[in-house]
Order: sequence, then structure tokens, then C-alpha cells
Amino acid sequence: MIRSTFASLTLANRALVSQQLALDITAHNIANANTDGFTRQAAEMIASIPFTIVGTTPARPQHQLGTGVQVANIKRFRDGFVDLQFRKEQQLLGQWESSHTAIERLEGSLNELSTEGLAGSLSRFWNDWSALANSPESQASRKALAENALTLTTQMNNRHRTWETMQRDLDRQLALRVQDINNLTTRIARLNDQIVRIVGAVDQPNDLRDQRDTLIDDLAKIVNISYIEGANGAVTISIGGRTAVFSDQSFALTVQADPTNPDGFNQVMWHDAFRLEQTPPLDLDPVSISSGQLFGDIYARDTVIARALQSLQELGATLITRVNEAHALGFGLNNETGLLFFEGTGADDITVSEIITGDLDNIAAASSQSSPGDGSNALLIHDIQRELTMNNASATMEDFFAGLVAEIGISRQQAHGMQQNERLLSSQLSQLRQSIGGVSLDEEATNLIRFQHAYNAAARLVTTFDEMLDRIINMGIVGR
Amino acid sequence: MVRVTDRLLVDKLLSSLQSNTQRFDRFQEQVATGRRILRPSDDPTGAVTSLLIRSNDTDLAQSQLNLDLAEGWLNATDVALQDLSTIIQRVRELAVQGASETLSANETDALANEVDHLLDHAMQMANTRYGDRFIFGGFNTRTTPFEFLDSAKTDWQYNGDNGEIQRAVAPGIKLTINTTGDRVFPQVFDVLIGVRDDLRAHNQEALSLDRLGELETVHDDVLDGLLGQVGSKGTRLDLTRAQLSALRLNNANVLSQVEEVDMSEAIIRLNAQQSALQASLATGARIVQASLIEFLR
Repeated sequence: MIRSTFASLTLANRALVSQQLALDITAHNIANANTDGFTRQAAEMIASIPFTIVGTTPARPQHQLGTGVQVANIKRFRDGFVDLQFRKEQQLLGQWESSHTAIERLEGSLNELSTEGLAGSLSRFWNDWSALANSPESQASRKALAENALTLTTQMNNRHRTWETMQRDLDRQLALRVQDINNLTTRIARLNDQIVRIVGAVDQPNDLRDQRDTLIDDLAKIVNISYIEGANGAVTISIGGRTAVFSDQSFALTVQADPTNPDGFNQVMWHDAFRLEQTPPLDLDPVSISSGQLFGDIYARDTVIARALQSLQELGATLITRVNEAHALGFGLNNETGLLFFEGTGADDITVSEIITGDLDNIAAASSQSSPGDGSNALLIHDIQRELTMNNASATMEDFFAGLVAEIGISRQQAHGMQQNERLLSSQLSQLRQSIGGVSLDEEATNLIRFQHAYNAAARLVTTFDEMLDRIINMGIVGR
Repeated sequence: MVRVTDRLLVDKLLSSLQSNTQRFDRFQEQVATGRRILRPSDDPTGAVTSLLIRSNDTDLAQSQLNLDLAEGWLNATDVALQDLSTIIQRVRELAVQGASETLSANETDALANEVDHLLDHAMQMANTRYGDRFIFGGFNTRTTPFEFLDSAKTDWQYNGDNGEIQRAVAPGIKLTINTTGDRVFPQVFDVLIGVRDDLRAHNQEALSLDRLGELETVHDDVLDGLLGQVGSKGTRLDLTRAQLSALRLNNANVLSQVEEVDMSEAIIRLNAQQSALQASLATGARIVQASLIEFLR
């Protein structure tokens, strides 16, 4: 075949268009240098299909003549494996961040490194009994005891209430996080739809993919997910082994009061309108949660805070039982006996009995009748603090409470350490991601110059071809 | 090779600034409060140690107070018993005088009257109070322990009981601090009444044969024995007091070691951290500036 006279112009045009496209992509990268989740793009230029022309010698009957450049693809710099790793770390980061926040709050509510804490009140309470033994006849020491006992019980009630509030806050947060998940899965499904259409039209929806990847990153932080991208470009996401996004469909989650949870807290379930519409409504399936912020919240709510509450409750219960037992055996100034000092069943409702606060003579300091000077029962009650009343008779109340404080401290320390660790790993992976797909302005500036020069040179080609064509077209006057 | 991008530089800068600031804040907090442990997670073991020590110290402080009050009670007992001892010695002198045949009836009656006064005095001692409490009545601290049944003071009665008043003078250690009056006063009253009546009856024989011996028994066996007990309890309190002080001093030392920050170390660290923070701020300023764009014209 003989090459067309104008083929060179077409070649120059393709070069111009391609370089301009590359310049546009560079501009797009620069513009998005600070866009979250943006991945740098590049024009993948290839030499266009060569043109076969008739050879110039018999030994070479034909030649392959280059036809210039074309942009085969706009490439996105992304490594799926790094993404996978990053999201795995995001799940753990989310988990430890949310549980750390909760435990930090729990720890903040303790005020045990001063004498104002619960431990301080407890030891003041015991001391008051030995002070009472110094002057069992005196109203002053009875009053001091009753007042400090009230401070102690109020402090216990408050502590219990604060911790319960923290649990309820976490429970509410669970519902909010589920809303976030639903929102994310809906948006991912919508993006799936758009991406599938563009991929179907044999194109590269790079920016939509970036958006979708960002949403998947966010989702991974909230809950444990696994995902796979199909050939059509749609990503299928499952949460705890069950599909949450498939093609353009998403499946919502919901929260429901857990019948097995003693406090009636929420658990996360798969929403199913059909089952809910039945009378009576059918049971929903629970979501299996193993990491992410959701897991961190549930862990803090049902393990860390619940355990602290249980310990506090146990401490209150033992205090009530032991003090009451000992108190009932003693005699008051008015010879009353068999009276209980505390009312209530645990830390949540412990209070000083009204019989005691109503008449301080009812405080049983004496071990025998008509013995105003006898403080031996008060001393017996004072000694309860040294009894091994907790943990199957292996710890005093004070040891037990100190253990609780240590446990909370260690939990926080652990959560803090894990959080720092995960932050480090996440940021390393994020840096790796940045290193692959991030925009380097220096690089883009260099590309800008590179493509600009190429564009200028291609423009120069057009001028040259123009001059050549001019020669040919105006040949008639050659030699005139 | 790692491809370094602008975002990466900024992210790294921000995260190192963040961690430097956090550390700076932590040392700053330590220096400002002078404490190493501000929350249990700073050092869970240390936090528990300090919690237990603090409550142990509260117990010790209360014990010190209890001990001081117990000592006051013992001192009051000691004073009363010493007085009683003086009374008995005086009565003995009077009995010795009364037993001699040379005295006139009037003179013997005068002796009897003095013994009668001393009997009143002994009754006062028996009803000694510490604060508003009677110390010789056992648990019955609010009723007068001893009283004469008639104006002639020929008979008396004990209104107290044999209750042993205990005080917690050290954690886990209880000490009986009272001496019940029935251990000494009945003998004292009986012998004093006997001496007085014998003097009034001019019964020199009974005085020299019985009363002098009885007085000696009361004084040497009963009273000296009780005084000895009170004294040894006082010694025990002194020892315990020294022990309590030593324990509290030790607590204070441990507490300061566990809780308090080594100031010079903390300040040096704070300064080092400040330099690090300034250095990262300075590099940050340069990183953000350096760009090829600046050089393209």
C-alpha cells in the first residue's frame, strides 16, 4: 500500500492530542494533590498500529511504518494487596481506638490516686469504727461515722450510675455506627452500578473507583469485612461471612435489644423486612462481628465496663452483708440489737439504713447489753477490712478494689498500646499506599515540562508538514 | 525504592509532630504536678501500691490517734492509782499511830476522822473520770461506779461491770486499756472502813494484828500489781508509737518513690522533648517550602 500524503499530518495530530491528554491528566493529578483517597493517574502511551507500505527493494518487499502515538489507557496507580493489608489494619485500628476511648473514659471516672476516691472513703469508713471505739458513748463519733458512711454509699451509687451511663452511651453509639454502615453500603452499591456501566462500555472509571475504595476503607474501620472485585468491576462485600453489598444491591443492618443480655443492650442484626412484618415477627439473624469499631464498642460495653460494674456490685454486696452481720450482733447505746447498718443489695442501691440515721444510738458499738463504754463490736466491724472476704476468701475488700483499679489501668494500657501499634502499622501501610498512588508535585511538574515539550515538538511537526505540503501543492510554479 | 510524595511528607510530619507534642505534654504534666502516676494506666502496679499504702497510712494515722487517747486513759488510771497508794500509805501511818497505847481517846478519834476523809478521797479516786467517762466502771462508763450506801459510810456498792475496754492501737492490735474498779477499790474501802472503825472503837489489837497486814496486802499485792500493769501498758504504747511513726515514715518514702517524679530527670526530659519538638517544627517548615514549582520560571 502506498502511504497517504496527509498521513504525516494525522500522525502529528495524534501526537498533539496524546500529549495534551497527558497534560490534562497531569493537571488532574495536581488538582487532586490533596484530595483524600485520590490515586494518581497516568496516560499509558503506546505506539499506534504501524502502516505497511510497499518496500523499496525487492529483498524487502514491505516496511512497517510507524504512525505515531496513541493513549491506550488511563492508568490508576493502585496495589490491591496493599489495600487489603491496609483495610485489615484499619479494622484492628478501629477496634482498639473505640475500645480505648471507652476505657479512657472509664479510667477517667476513677479518682483513686487521691484520698478523695472510693478507696479513700472506704478506709475512712473503717477508721470511723475504730474512732467510735475510742468513745462509744459520744454522739459526735456516731455522727461522724454515719456521715462518712453516707458519703461512701453515695459515692458507690454514683460510680455505679456513671459506669452504667457509659455502657448505655456505647449502646447508643452502636446504633449510630450501624447507620454509618448502612449509609456506606448503599453508596458502595450505587457506585458499583455506575462502575459496571462504564466498564461495560470498555472504559476506566478511575475516579469512581477511588471514591468506592475510600468508602470501603471507611467501612473496614467500622466492621470486619471481606471483599472481592468481579470482572465486571462490581465489588462484593460481606460482613461476618454474609453478603452486605452485591452488585447494585446493599443489605442493611439494624440493632435489636438482645434478649440474652441482662441489661437489654442492643445487638447488631441483619435487617429483614419480611421477617419483621410477620405476626409475631420472626427472629432476625445476628451479624457476626469480630473486629472494627463495632467490636471495640461491644468489647468495652460487655467486657471491660461490665466486669468493672460486676466487681463494684460484688464489693457493695460484701460490704452490706459483712457489716450487717457484725452489726446485728452488737448492741446500741439504747440496747437495741439485731439491727442492720446498711440497706440495699449492691453498689447500685447501698445506703445507710434509716433506722441508723434516724437514731444514732442504734449504732451497735457494744458487744453486750447496757455497756455504753464498750466499743468492742465497733472494733470487730473495723477489723472486717482485714478479713479475706472477697475472691473466694483470698482478698480483703481493699485488695479487691485495688485489683479492680489495676485491671482498668491495665486494660487502658493494653488498649493504648494496641492502638499505638495499629496506628503505626496503618500509617506505614498508608505511606506505602501514598508512595504508590500519591501525587508528587515535583514529579507532576517534571511531567508538565516533559509533555509540554513533546506537545511543542508535535506542533512543530505540523508546521513542517504544512511547509512540505505547501511545496507540493504549489509545484506548478517550480523553477519559474 | 520508596517513592516520596508531598502528601506522605506532610502526613509523616504531622504524625511526628503529634507524637512529639504528646510526649511533651506528658513530661510537662509530670513536671507541673510533680507526679509520675496521674492515672492507673501510667503504672498499674504503682497505682495499686500507692492506693494500698495510702489506705494503710490512713489506718496508721487513726491508730496514732487511738493510741494517744488510750495513753490519756492510762495516765488518768495511773494518777488515780498513785493517789490511792499515797492514801493507803498515809492510812498505814495513822493505823500505826492508833495501834500505840499512848494515845488518848480524843487523839484516836482525830485519827479516825482523818481516815474517814481519806476514805472520801479514795471514793473520789474510784470515780475518776477521763473526759466525761468514769474509768473504773468497766463498760458502765456513764454511771458513777462506786457509792456509799449510807451517810455513815459503812457500806458501799459497785455499779460497774468487769468489761474490758479495748482500743485498736495499731492495725490489727488491740489493747485493753481500763482497769475495772472491782479489782482494787473493794479491798481499799473495806480496809479503810475497818481501820476507821477500829480507831473509833480504840481497838488497838485489831489494828496491829489485822489492819496493818491488810493494808500491806492491798498496797503491795493489789495496788502495786495494778500499777505495774498500767506502767507496762504505757511502755507498750510508747513502743507502738515509735513503730507507728516508723511505719508512716516508711509509707511516705515508698509513696514518694512510687508516685513522685524525679524532678531533675523530668525537667531534662522535658527540655530534650522541647528541642525535639522544635526540631520537627523547623524541618516541617522547610519540607513544606521545598518544591520544584518554586524553581520553575
